[in-house]
Amino acid sequence: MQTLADFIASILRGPGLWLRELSLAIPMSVARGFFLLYFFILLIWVLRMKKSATSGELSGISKPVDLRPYAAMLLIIQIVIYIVF
Amino acid sequence: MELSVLTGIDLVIIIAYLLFTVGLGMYLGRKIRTGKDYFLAGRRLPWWAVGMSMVVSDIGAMDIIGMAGLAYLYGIAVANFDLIGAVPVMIICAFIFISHLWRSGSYTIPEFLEKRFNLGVRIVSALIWGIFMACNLGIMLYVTGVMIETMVGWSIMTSILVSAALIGLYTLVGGLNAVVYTDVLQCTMLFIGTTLVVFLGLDKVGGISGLTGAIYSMGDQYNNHFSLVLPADSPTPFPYSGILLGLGMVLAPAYWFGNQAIVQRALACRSEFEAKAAFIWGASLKIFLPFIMVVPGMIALVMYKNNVPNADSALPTLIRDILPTGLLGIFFAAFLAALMSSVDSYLNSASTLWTKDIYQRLFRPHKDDRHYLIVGRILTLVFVIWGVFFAIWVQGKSESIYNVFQTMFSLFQGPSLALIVLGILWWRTTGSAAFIGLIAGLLCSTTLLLTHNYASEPLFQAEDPFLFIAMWSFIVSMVSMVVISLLTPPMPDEKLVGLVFRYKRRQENANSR
Repeated sequence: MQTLADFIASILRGPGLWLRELSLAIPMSVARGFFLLYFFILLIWVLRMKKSATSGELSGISKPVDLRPYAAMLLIIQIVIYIVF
Repeated sequence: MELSVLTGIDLVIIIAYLLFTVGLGMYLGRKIRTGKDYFLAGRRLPWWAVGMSMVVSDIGAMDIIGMAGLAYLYGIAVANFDLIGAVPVMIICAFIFISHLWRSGSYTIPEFLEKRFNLGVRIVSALIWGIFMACNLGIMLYVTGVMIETMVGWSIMTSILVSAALIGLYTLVGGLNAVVYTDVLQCTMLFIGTTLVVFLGLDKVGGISGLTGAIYSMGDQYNNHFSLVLPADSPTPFPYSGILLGLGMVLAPAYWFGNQAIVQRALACRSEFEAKAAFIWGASLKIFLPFIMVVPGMIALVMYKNNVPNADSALPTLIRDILPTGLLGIFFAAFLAALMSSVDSYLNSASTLWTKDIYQRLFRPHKDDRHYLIVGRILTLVFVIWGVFFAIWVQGKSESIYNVFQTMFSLFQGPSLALIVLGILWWRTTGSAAFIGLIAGLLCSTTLLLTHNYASEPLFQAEDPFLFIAMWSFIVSMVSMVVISLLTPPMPDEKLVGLVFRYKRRQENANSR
């Protein structure tokens, strides 16, 4: 088992180390930017959705509810949290 | 924190809470007549109950103590599991995936996979999930026993038997309806109990400014304690690369829209829109969890520096020192709530999977719905007994078996997610591609794990490589499915309408051209 594992590891270790070096070379400010970019893309997607896809009737609430503002608010809070911390 | 610390009033609160939970579950079970009532609560559940149930089911026996312990050691980076590991993914699920799953009228995810692909994908997927859930049930009971032993002083055996009997009773009688409504109670207790700890703890350390000031003054090694994004070579389990790609892109989506225990609740909502709202409401609760689950660990760090025996004893020590009589009972009830909510969810979902995907699909497909109700209840009882024996067996195997099963869980997360993502988002994905992609992903994750464990030098630099294994197996599954789909004939329209994202609109556009 160890011989086979060593053989597979010898193939995978090169690309793996290259990817690791790549991730280490990325400055932390850019890494943080990836997180923020992810949330921003989601925020734009949520805000651009059609109201018909995000609105409807909920039990216990008399008026129709649009879920977009709530989802957008959650993503904005996430963005603020990841900017601050 | 042992039982001797709990006074009469604490015990009254705890016993009253337990009796109320079991009583509520039994009461809710009295109207159950069919399998649909039992497995999907008759598809009558409201969004608010389902959202709370999802959140509290996610918090297991280890989490309250474990997350505070990790925060004590590594800081707020552990909050990534509730932030990037839940909130964005729950929003994506609300607006894309849950619509198709709910509309399909399925009881389980494997059932959806048969409607979208073929029987082979359903059976492989059901067997993987069914076996995992059955084994995990035993492990959860074992962990519950360890936690109760640590906090109350009962023997592990007594703790396992008492918790299995209480949880088994209301889940057996009340099915998903009882599980979800007792979860609402448990979620409320959890938020009240842990919020109390945070406010009383912050008061002890001089508020938030006192907390941050004290930790920064402890030395350079604590500089990252207030950072969510840690370097790729961080000596913690949370390097940003693993968190963003492994957790954020694979494990979190696999959990929130691929885990039967979570999705089953949403499938039981009154309408498709209520299922969407349940996820958004759940995400709104999730965003508060770092505050109540992580901050106590940081408070313990300030109060005890490094003077607790290990990280997992940070929270029990803090609770013992700051909570007065009565409030201790409320916190302990909250702790029991977290334990029970996860076990009841897995118990009900394991019973649903084995009844619907194995028993009904393969052995007795044309019986009336009452028959499946009886089978579901029998299987719930079988799983309670199985869980107790498995927990006792795990006890003899020490902690390593727990880690083995958690690692096994990560082996099929990537491939399972690839099935759902491509199945719903890309109409061209074919049944044979799904089957081969699932197997290819499983082979990839197993090979990576075995290579990591058996090679002369570990394959991954990370001590716990499950985030990376999940990511690579997901990629291999996706690539295999795309390539094989393009080489095989497309699936007929009737297999796709309603199950694939915007498929109907795409067809209409094609026809109008």
